[in-house]
Amino acid sequence: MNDIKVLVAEDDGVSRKVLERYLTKWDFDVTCTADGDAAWTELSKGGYHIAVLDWNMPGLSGIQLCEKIREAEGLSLLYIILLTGRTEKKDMVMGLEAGADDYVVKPFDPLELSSRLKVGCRLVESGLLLKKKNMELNTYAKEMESLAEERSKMLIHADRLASLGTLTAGVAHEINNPNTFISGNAQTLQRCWNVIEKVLQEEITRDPNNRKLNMVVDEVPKMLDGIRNGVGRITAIVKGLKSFARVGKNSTESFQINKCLEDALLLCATRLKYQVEIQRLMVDNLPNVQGDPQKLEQVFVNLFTNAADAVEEKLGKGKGILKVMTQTNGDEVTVTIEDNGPGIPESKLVDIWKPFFTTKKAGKGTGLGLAISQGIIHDHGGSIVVINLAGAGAQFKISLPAVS
Amino acid sequence: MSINLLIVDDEEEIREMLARHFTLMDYSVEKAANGREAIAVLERRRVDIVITDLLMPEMSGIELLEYLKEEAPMVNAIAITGYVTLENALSCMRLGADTIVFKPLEDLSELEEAVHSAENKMKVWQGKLRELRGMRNAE
Repeated sequence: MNDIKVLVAEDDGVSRKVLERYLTKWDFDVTCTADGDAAWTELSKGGYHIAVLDWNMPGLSGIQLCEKIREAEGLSLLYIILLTGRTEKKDMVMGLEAGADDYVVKPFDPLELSSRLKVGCRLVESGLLLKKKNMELNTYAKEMESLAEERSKMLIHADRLASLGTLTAGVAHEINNPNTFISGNAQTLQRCWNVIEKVLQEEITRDPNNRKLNMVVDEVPKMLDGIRNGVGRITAIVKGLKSFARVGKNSTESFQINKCLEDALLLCATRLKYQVEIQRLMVDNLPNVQGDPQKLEQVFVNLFTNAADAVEEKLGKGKGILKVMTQTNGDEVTVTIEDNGPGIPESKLVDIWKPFFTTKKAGKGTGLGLAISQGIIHDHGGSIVVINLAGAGAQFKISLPAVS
Repeated sequence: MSINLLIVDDEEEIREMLARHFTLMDYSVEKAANGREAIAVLERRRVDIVITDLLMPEMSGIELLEYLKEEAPMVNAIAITGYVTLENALSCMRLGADTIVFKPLEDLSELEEAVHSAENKMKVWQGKLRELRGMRNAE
């Protein structure tokens, strides 16, 4: 019982001493005060569990103290025993009404006081336990609340992504139609032009110095080329958007990542041939990975062409190095793709994953490649990260769960 | 004998573009904005080759292909679509389309070739029929 703190308020010195001695003997942590005001000051400091208060004291009386304690915040658990010579029932009622929990008549019988203190202790202890449980419950409730909030944020995000996917697929489809008739008309016009040009050439032979005619004959083919070029770019964006929106279902199988990388290297062989030397550091007998090999091939092709573009930008033709590495720790298969290009500006390391973000020249890239790649890797339960290498160049690291 | 094409697409600009293109290539061309209009044309006159979009209001290209398979199996069909799905491609195959060409038709020559091969197939049959008629006349 020694961690129960008791405050005694008794103006009579002898009584106080006796109380102190008994309480100390019963193993309480006792503090004694000689009047109501001192008692209040002491109680206000907090930490007390039980108060033994004399009724009649200078300053605040026991009754007034009771009332003050019950009004105060944070003292609600304090167990109060009122100590008095008054024995009438109405006094007892008055004491209890004022907020005392118990009532001991003076001169007190030590055995009775001890028993009554034990009752107090039991109540204080169960009160403390209740308070502790309450606090735990509060913490738990708060945790649940923040979890729920987090979850709803995630759901909103997922919902936004889903509607972005639908929107993207819709936009891609809507753009595809006008692109079709621009493309088709340009091609038909091209053939019409062959007829027109013949007539114009005849006219020029008759009038070789007609500046306007000469210009038309020179410029129209360029205009037609410009239209075709634009159509090609729109087509690439539409294809990318459709892929980004992931139209169509993923097929899934268990396969070797090395094979997938070789297929991807083969696919962009012509792009890489004059640009980079390919260094393979691939571990044989890797565990299989699960997923859609074509989608992953798309990721690798994207990373390889990015590397080739980066190297070309920095070194010109033919001096690049493309390192393709694979390894495993049993649980994961890791693919590392490194180039010795200029690397990625630190400030743009975050942006490169955003759709339509590109550092390439206008018309060279759609800015969708890495966004699509990241989506594909996440769909496979893996991760893709990029760092700049100390010397130069960028390093992409893809981790995929291994099939056990 | 000139070849009659029927171009079916709900997007007017695409319809007109294809009609123009094949008219310039000396085909005789009819146009329709959906499956239902296409059937009206098919009931009115001889059509050799139908080039049809798949996603159209009122009556889709797939439904038109179903109709052709049932009611006009001699007509060649070529599907064009911007909505590239495996399901669409398989439906077209099952319903006897010659091929499916994906929009945006970056290179019209794929469509031209499809039309040519349909044309050649028809010519082979016409030759056979002529031969048969010749044999019958000789009897």
